[in-house]
Amino acid sequence: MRTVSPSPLSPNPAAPGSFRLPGSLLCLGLVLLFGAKVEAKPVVTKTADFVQHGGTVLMSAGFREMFDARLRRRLRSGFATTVTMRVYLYQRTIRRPVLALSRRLSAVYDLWDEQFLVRFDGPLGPRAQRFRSINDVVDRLTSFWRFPLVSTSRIKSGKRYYVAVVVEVNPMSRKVLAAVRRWLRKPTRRQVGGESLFGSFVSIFVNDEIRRAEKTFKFRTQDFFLP
Amino acid sequence: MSRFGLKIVGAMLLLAVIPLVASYFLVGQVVQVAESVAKGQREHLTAPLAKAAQAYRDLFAAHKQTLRLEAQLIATDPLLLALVSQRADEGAHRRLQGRLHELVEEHPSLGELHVIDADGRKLASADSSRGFDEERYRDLKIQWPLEGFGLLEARFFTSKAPFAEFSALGRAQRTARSVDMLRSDLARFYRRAFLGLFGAALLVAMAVGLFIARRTTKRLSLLVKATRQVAAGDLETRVELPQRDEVSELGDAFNEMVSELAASRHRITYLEKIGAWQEVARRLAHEIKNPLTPIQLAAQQLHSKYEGDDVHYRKLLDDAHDIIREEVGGLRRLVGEFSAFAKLPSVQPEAVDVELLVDDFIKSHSELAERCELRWEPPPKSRELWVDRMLIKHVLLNLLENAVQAAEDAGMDAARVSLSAKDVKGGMVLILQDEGPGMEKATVERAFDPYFSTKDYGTGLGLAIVKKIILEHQGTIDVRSLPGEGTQFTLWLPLAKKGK
Repeated sequence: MRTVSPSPLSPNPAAPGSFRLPGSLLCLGLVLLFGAKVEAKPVVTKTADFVQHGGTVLMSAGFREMFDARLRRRLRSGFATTVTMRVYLYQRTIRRPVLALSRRLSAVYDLWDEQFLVRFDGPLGPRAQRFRSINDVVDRLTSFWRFPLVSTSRIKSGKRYYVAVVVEVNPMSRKVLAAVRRWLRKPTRRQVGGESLFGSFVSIFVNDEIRRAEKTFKFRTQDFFLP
Repeated sequence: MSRFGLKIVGAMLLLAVIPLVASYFLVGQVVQVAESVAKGQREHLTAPLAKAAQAYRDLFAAHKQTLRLEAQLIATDPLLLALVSQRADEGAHRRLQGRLHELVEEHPSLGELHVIDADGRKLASADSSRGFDEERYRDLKIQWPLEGFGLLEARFFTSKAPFAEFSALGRAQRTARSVDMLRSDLARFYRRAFLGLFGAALLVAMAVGLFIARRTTKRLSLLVKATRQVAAGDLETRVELPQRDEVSELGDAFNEMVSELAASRHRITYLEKIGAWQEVARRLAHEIKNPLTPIQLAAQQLHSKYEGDDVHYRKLLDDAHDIIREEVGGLRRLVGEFSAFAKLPSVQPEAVDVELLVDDFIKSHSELAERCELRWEPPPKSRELWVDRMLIKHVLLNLLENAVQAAEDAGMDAARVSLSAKDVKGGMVLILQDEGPGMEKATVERAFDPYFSTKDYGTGLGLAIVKKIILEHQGTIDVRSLPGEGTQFTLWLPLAKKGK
């Protein structure tokens, strides 16, 4: 497995040079109509290790810096902290990702046992690990270690690929979104009747697209390719 | 689209936009107020939630501290320490076991108690009879050094309920944070939803405006087109506008105006034509009348001065004299009619009761009664016409004479004529219907043309004079006739206005 030097940073993990006029005009119209704020934060590029192991490409990368003092305090609060990671593998110059993976970890500090419990989905089902040190927990939550990224059969030899990762800390749950939608549709909270037409219309906007998280961190890796 | 159509669409949009813009700002204000209330509520909610969470944390820490103190207390129990020091003795070991049981029973949250030597072997143990199950309790193992010997291990149990409550508190806090994250979005969603409705309302207003504009401007375009045709001289143009509203009323008024315009133009044209013919008649009468007397005198002199015996010549003179006298007489009559036509008096209208007018006419022309059977149907109510009494009598006489003449020419014993009067809007209609032989279509079409006559001796001026008189009264005259079915003249004459 070889890596190449990072390409110029692009806020969008999509392939550069793939500007589409109709879509852009539509977006511009929507922005003008709804006055949405467009934030163009530069995406961080991190160097990751890509290793070919058997028929799988394994990725190792860390992003410890996203866990600041506030999140560390939150970790010690005794309440659960959830971290979701969405991993997208892109081939350069192609807009659609080759694949998308997700990973979810949950850490909670047991105030009684005074240790951290990290739950996650392993290859054999849900797993749990206990840690005494907060640094170990943060490492567990903010790193990929030999993460099985993709089967080598799915990537083309000689083509350049990169990985885009979106990490969210304590993302809004679908249950909360559903509850908010319910509140909007039924402002009177009655079991039967009491639907608000306007509220139902507003609830259309409350969908997965607007899910927020306490903190979101995005990065992309340098390009890599199979020789 | 026409400018008028655009104005209608613009007006509809304006009608939709003004209340919507006002509502949008109102909704903005309401959302701001709701946001402010929610923010205040959140501040009152989050602080107690955080304090409650901290209280639970303090509770757990204090509970653990209490249990540690309990373990310390047990580990420093003098009897226990004494028994531990005599552990080699069989009896002392039993008493140690018994003391551990006593200690377990003395401490309600204590589940197990073990004495462990330096090698990690359990020398003595005691379990609680209280039955702490793992479903409802969670444990805490505390080890405390026994003075001079190994460790004391105490396993305490505590209810899981506070931990469940703490987790619920955590979930509530997280939900509150999530809702808080959405709060600012919700205001935006409300605005977006409103803008969506706003856009939909604008589209509907535009569609309605276009619909109305199309329907209205289409009809107005028809009117404009018809007006242009009229301006180009086509007075036969009429518009038919569906629906009953102001625009269709405008169309009706337009049609009425064009009809009146056509009638006026016809009247003016006809009067101009008659005027020209009157001038011709006047000149002809003048040119013909002057030489007639010398011709007649010369012929008389020639006839009277001959004193010869030539019988043939005498006869020739007699015949020539008769012919000249007869033709001069004819010419004099013709000149008289031309003069009468050329010098028609101007109309001097006055209020005349129609019934009295006709009755007076019948009385003054009693000679017609011998040649004509006239049935007169006066109007149900007495009405006054605004006419020249003498000229209208002249019209009636002319029409009746025509009827009598036609009947006589057709070999009928007497002409049968009916005259009736009916009220119509703004005037009165006199209908004169005879039962004579009627006229061909071509004759009907030229009936009012000057100098057109089907009679060998007619001048063709009678009906022309009639029409001129009627038109000068601002009235109308129509003729309908079919061969064998008689002839009908319909005269419309204005009523006298009140006060005249």
